[in-house]
Amino acid sequence: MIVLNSSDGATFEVEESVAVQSQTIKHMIEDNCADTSIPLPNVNGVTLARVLEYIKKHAEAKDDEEGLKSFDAEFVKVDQASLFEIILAANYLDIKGLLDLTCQTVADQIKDLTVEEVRAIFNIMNDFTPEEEAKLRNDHAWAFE
Amino acid sequence: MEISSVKISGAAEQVTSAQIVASIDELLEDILLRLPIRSLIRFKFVSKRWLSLISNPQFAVLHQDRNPAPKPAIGLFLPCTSFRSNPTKFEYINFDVHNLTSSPFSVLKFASDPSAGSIKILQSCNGLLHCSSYRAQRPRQNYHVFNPTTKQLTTIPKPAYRRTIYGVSLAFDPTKSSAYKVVCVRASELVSGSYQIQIYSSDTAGPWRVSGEPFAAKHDFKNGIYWNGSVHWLGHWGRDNSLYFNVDEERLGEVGPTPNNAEQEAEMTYFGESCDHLNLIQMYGRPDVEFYVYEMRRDCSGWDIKYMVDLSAVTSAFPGMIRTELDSYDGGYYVLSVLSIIRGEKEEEAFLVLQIPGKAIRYNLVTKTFVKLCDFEGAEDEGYLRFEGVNAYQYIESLCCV
Repeated sequence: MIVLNSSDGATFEVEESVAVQSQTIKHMIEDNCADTSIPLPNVNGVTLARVLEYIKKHAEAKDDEEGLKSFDAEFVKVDQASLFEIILAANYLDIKGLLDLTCQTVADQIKDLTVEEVRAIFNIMNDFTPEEEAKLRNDHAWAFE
Repeated sequence: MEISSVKISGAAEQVTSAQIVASIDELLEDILLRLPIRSLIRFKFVSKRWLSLISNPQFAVLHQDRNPAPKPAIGLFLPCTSFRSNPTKFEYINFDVHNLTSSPFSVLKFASDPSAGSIKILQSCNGLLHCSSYRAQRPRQNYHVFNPTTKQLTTIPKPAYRRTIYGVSLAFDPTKSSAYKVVCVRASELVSGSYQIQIYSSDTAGPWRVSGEPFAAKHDFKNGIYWNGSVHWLGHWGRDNSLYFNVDEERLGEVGPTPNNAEQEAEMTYFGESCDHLNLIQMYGRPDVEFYVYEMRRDCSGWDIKYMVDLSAVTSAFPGMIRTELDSYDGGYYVLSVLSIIRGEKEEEAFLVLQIPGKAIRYNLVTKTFVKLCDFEGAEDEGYLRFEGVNAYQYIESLCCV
């Protein structure tokens, strides 16, 4: 069993065979950095619990394609903030399947949004001058209809 | 892991996880690469950083790699006004009647060629448009490659020899390469009456170089179609072989004529490519409602009948297609032309775009259902075809850089 410590002090136990779905954890184990427990200062307890739920399910139901598909669909039904937290965790822990799933979910959620709605989600400032925006719009007005 | 600086507005505001994700180039790109092209064009406006990411040629290559299936066209451009009018207007036919998106352009005017009288589309090839400009002052045309999705334009240098140019064709296949080639068929300076091919490659940006020996031919070099690695040209007569030039191997080949084997010139020909299929329709004499659609075999050994079309049901719904003029000796005839054949991603999605007086119709080749796509403005009372003898050019969305 491997012990994982989240950034906010929560402790989780998970089988090594399951944990190595995370390439980051896998390398830590190989490099012998996993004596007592593995600290994960970039992931909080709530998010880590969710990530472990994902990798446990994908380890135990490996060959059940249908089952995994419906699990994944339910798994991403979380609020947007949590979804982004999971993306960051999946990126840090290097879990490809989870990163693909969550990035695809975000892409599906934003694809039909307006530019203003996208800026609001990511808290991005519009740094175009009115002239720059007008010129760009002139070329691409049709994409907004 | 690169983290670019994150703007925090207001001292008390926390940085959200969404902000952090968007600030990491690899993660933002991972999300953006999963978006459809239309969303990406719109999201260029989010910020300068997003504009830069999306406009990057490498991004276009990665997006293409993630979406390797050949894309069906989503609409057609039809040139409206006469060749010499300035500027050239285009009618746009949208294939999706439920989701009417507008045309990327209605007028083509290239800033880099301001003295051009008008811009003509010569060919649509996998998302790029090959255009030429008519210059009133000098007889020589300029050739351009234009991406209507991104509005990027490149002007191709003119072929070197002062010889009659019979046709210029674009060879572009984004599944093979982000570079394109242009094939020019001109008069040979060595053998009178023969042709010579010259090639231009975008990755070396020229110069034009001669390919192969002079050759004799009787083909329609103005309407080359690029498919399966080669530019294809039809013969003028039904019984002629068609000619093709394999662009990578730089060799010419011939394909036997369709089983039609008619001893005359076709009244109506449709010759075009869609989703990696090359299709041909040839009608001899007056247009008929029953005809075959041929498809070229992948090894270029000949043509097979792919669809047998019977448009009788369409004439019942649109009686304007049937003319019974006093001067018709056979009691009536049909007024129609095929503007395009679109194969779609699945077999059952294949359809014809038909032009009838005043309208465009979409006819599904497998289910045999049909729907009106649009009325041509101001053409309701016309008994003839608004766009007679005019080629339609497919609009395929593409991020590819020219």
